[in-house]
Amino acid sequence: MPLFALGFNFRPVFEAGGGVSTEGIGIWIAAILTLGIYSFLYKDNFFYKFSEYLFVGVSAGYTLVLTFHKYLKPSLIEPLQEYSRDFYHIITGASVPIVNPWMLSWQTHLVGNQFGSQFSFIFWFAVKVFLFYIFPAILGLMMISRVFPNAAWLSRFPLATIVGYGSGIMIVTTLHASVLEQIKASFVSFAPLFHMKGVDWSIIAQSANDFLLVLGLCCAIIYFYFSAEHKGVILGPASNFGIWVLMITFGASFGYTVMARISLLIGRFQFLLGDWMQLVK
Amino acid sequence: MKAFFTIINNLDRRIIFLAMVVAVIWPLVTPLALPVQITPNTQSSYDVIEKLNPGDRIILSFDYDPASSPELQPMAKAVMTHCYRKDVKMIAVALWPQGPMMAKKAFESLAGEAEFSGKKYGVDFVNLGVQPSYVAVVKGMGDSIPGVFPTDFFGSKTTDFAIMKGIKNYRDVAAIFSLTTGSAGIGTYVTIANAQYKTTVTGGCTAISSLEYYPYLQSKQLSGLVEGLKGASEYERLVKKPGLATAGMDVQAVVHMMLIFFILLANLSQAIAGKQK
Amino acid sequence: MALFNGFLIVFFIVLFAALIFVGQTLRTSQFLRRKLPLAFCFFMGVIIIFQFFIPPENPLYKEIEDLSTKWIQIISSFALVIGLISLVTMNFNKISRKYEDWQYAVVLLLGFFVTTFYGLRDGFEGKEFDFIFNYMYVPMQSTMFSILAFFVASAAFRAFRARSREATLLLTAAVIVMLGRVELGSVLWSYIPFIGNYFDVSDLAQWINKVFTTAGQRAILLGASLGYIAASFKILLGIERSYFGSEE
Repeated sequence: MPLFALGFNFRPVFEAGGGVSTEGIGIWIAAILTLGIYSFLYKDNFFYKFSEYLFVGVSAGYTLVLTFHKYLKPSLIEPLQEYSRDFYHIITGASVPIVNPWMLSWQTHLVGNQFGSQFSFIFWFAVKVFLFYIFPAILGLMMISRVFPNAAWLSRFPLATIVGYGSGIMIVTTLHASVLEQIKASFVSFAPLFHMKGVDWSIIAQSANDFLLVLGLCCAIIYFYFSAEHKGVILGPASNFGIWVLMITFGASFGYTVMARISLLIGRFQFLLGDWMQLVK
Repeated sequence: MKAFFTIINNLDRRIIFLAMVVAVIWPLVTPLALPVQITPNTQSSYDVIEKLNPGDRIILSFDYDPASSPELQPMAKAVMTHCYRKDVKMIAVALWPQGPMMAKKAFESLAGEAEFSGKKYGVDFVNLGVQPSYVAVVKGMGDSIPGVFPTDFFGSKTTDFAIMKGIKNYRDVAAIFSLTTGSAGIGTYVTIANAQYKTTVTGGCTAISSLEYYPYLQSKQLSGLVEGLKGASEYERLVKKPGLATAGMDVQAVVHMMLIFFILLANLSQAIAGKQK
Repeated sequence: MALFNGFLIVFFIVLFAALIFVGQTLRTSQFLRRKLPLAFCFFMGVIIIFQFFIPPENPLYKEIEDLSTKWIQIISSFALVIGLISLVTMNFNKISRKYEDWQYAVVLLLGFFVTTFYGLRDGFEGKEFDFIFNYMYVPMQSTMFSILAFFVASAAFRAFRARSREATLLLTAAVIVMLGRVELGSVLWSYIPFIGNYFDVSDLAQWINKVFTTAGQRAILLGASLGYIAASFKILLGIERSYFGSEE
């Protein structure tokens, strides 16, 4: 390779003692995919499209694996297996330890063997399994019914459940943490200003900052208040100052955005120049 | 002179792209080794962990994906280093689907270091993985952490791990440290875990979302914030272990200067050569 | 256990078929289509709000928490499956009908099936799955997002002009923050006559963030939160039902 002659020291694919290094191959694949995506900066082309589609495929695969192994298996399939196994063992009176604590409490209860306790056991077992696992699974299957246009309306039930849950939580928690607590924190105290001995610049600076913060907040809120025209002695200048505060906010946000985006670029170049070309340690 | 500024005004964006590439490569190859100043937000985040006792347990939430890893992965490693040295146990959870894999990578990379060879999975660190619907997860953990995460990421029963002994919900953990990108993360923990259960919440985030959390910092609902790559480099300095973030800050400095230069140049050329078409 | 798993699969398939059948036969019922889902949503929301007012020691609190978390987790898991089904069928269609760029759909499906195969077989500890994640998923995703850096640079060059007083303020704040967040900024700042000696640019940037940005962000947070709460009430009361889909 001519590049080696130029002093480049790429990560070798083969190990020193012979044999192929998995990491080496991986780094080469990663580098080629990275450069393929960067080729988009020149113009759209085959390598970019290839990497883009491959990415969508791999990430969909990741989602499926995650959904099965991490979501459905521990929260639906395994509990159902556990409950049915325990149920079977209790019913048949097998001398196998019962795993589930809820089922275990039933087993000790049943050992007393009072009349009717078997019925209530079966009843409550059915209710528990249905409510906790079968019913949400039915709702989940209703979600999948979207695939069939005629039955797609069934998906409204699971959607309504999720949206209702989310709204319920959000009403309370947002009101608490992001409205009331935030308003509370805006009630700054100027008391230290009146209790300081001599001239303490740190207290004065703190109070001035607090004052500016509250003033800026009020003016920015006035700017967002659309029920009256922003004119007159108070609303006019206040909403103007509000715009300034918001402009400074957006400017600072832009600065941070630039920073974040560049960081990602740095990460990729650290990989290309470090792991792949071995120029940087 | 005017002709020069007209050219600047109509500069092809690929030339800017090329300048960016040069500005990134140059400081990487010849590091400037600029000093790192510690900002108060990073310091207070560090102090939250510094004040914990050996044996305390924290929730370390990996709420990001590979896209944000250049900023958050060095931060995660620095925080984990800090916890390991203080013998604080970490329960890693995730609100983002790819989070557990990032936790796995960070754990594996620290496990390869001689200093932490004695640290064991399940005793000092556990990766509980991820569950869908992050609001439900954060709220559910207030009632029962093993209830929300019945198994760890690899399928073993959560309650079987030594680190999980006696852990029921937020009341049993000393703090929550969330590494956040996007909407799920610090904001969710502040609005639910801190507001309802009064758990100390701190964290680190990508620079892009860090300003969103300033109101929570001022109201002390959030105790400290490690902001972006700069915050990560500060944390690396605090734990005295410079890594990728510290190296990256050199590049950041050069690229910022270049961008500021470009912005000034563009404004100057507009003033001289008139409005761009 | 294999017998039981087989039973479980058959059970869910039968359940699904029954659901589809019921869905097709009852599709004209306005009560089922419209009123019942709204009632569901209202009921769910009210229960959750109610739960916040129960002390956590009360067994009812635990039951609601347990049940609601399980429901949401299971339903959300199924929701992810639909996205995958539509992605796969769409790409199969693309290939079979030879639409433009169908070759790339083959790449997509290949990536999907290979990842799924190794992932389902070995879980998250498998070597092949790890390889795909570390050397394909990670570089591709982070590179996609890092491309934005170039566009941010180009946007800064083109659009960041001091055209008005407000724009100048925006520009100045951005430049100060960009200077203040890197150490090189402080070094250069100290060469500026007069002001360079009195304070550091990183302190200036921190002051801007602590005072003005906090005020601005808090105003935005308050406005957004109130809007969010209002929208949530509208959803619970059935006034806002766009999540139902386009036909209503």
